[in-house]
Amino acid sequence: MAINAVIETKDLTKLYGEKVGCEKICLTVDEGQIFGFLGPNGAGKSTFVKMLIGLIKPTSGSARLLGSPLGDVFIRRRIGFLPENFRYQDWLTGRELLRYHAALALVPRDRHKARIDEMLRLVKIKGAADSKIRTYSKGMQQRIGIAAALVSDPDLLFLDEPTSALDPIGRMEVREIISSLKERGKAVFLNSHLLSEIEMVCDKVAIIKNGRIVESGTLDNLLKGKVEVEITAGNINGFFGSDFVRFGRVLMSKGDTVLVELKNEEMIPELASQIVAGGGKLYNLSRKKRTLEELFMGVVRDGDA
Amino acid sequence: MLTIASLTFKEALRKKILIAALVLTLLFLAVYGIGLHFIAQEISSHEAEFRASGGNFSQVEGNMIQDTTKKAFLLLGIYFASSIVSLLAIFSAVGSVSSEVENGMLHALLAKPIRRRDVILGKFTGYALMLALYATLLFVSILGLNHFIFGSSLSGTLPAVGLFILEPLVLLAVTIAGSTKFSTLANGIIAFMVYTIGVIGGMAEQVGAMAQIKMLVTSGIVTSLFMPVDALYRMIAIIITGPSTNPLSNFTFGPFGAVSQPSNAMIVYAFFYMAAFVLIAVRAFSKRDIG
Repeated sequence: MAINAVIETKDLTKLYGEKVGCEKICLTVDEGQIFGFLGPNGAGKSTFVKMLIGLIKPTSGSARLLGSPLGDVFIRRRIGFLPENFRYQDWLTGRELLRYHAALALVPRDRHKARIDEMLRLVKIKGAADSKIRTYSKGMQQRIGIAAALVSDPDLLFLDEPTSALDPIGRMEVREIISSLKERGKAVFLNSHLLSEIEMVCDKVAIIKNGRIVESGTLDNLLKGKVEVEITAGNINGFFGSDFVRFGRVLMSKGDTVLVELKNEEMIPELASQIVAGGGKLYNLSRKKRTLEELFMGVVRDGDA
Repeated sequence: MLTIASLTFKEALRKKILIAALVLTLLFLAVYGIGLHFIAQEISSHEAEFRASGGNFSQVEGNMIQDTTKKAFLLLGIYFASSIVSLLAIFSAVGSVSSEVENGMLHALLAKPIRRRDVILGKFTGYALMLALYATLLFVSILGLNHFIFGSSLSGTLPAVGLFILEPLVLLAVTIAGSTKFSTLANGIIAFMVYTIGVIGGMAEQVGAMAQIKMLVTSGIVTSLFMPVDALYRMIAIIITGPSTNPLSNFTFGPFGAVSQPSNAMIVYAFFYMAAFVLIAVRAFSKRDIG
């Protein structure tokens, strides 16, 4: 079965006079994909999401959501959104808020009750469903916001910092919700500063800086990056000398431990066999995988110095 | 649109805007009713004194004075009720859009399959329903008090209620339109100033008509075009005080009366004015970036 793009943007740009909100953003998110959108404060993440949701109008460029152009109001039946600065009618109860959002999202009236009960269970707020939202903690308000975004069972969900007010258990529960949506073929566009969370749940990420995407791709490919290998071995005097240049370069050397960058991953077994063949005693050879944080910091700091 | 309208109406109820207004209105009506009661007593005792002392006034002249006094107090009540309902319209809707943009409440709402025009029309309908309900209760209470204490006629109640409801709706449209453009505080100041200009213009027009100063009358007409609420009040005054066969009325009612009578076309104008501001609100909100 062909995989359809749920978000496609082409040169999507928002300018505020001279100031750049977002510039020439091109990205694609497929159905069933969890997409992480990263960037420092003020990079343009929220501007981009707000353009897609229809809160702000792009200066130029185009985008399609679930196959429909921006501005198609009715496609929003299939979209859910949790805003970063979530704020709801605090004079309503949680249940009333969900009923209101279900009505706005054109959920058939006969499905309201079942859907609302399901959402209240999902975000674990059923006990407080009939209390006024003004009595909710910040974390509970974020949970009811997630429920409001999900009440129409959307095919595409935008979550802007969905765990900012949650404790570690709440964060884990949100990750589970996101994973279960993926299993059901739903797509999630996740704006977050919490890199570890993005790393745990996302298939694909893009990093935005000063309004432009500076890095994007599948998480696996981005984290593979350079081939860095840490070696601990004895009797390897001279091995990392001038001849080593055919493998790559030495990044650091301390006692029997050397950190090297190889030209490609095919060189890892070759390097191991060469060390052993040269009489070296190989105690450890491990490939260093970059973390998303290292990637993010490298990209964001690049050019700032 | 109906979902937004019902939520707006519920908000007015839940936030106790309507209930607080009703409680304070009861206080106003109590004070007003007590005032009417003592005026009625005063009129009766004066009448008895005249008769006993064989006063110079004829029966016709006596009736004329009584009629004018009663109508003046009826108008006084309606004038203040008009101010109350107008201020309620401004204060209830002053942050209807701006505050929800400022605090982010609209973000989740506008991501739903709803057109922005429906948000504005829904809010207008919800507030309008609340104001219409309140205005009807207030107006009927004042007429009822006057009928009960003075035995005033209730003729013309229906068209007068209609105009009395139209007053806050005109201000509601202006306030919601302002709320799509300005911050809540700025909008409150602007809406209140626009209303005040209309009221002062209306007063000036009546004083001008009494003193026959054409310039004041003209300026009053111009301000009525700028803000037609006062002109609507003058039309109510004409309807409930009846045809002006009483020569005392014009002067005794003072600025609360309608010496300078607005044209009936002003009703049509007020409807168009209200519709125009709703349209302005829809257009401004549709174009606005919700950051």
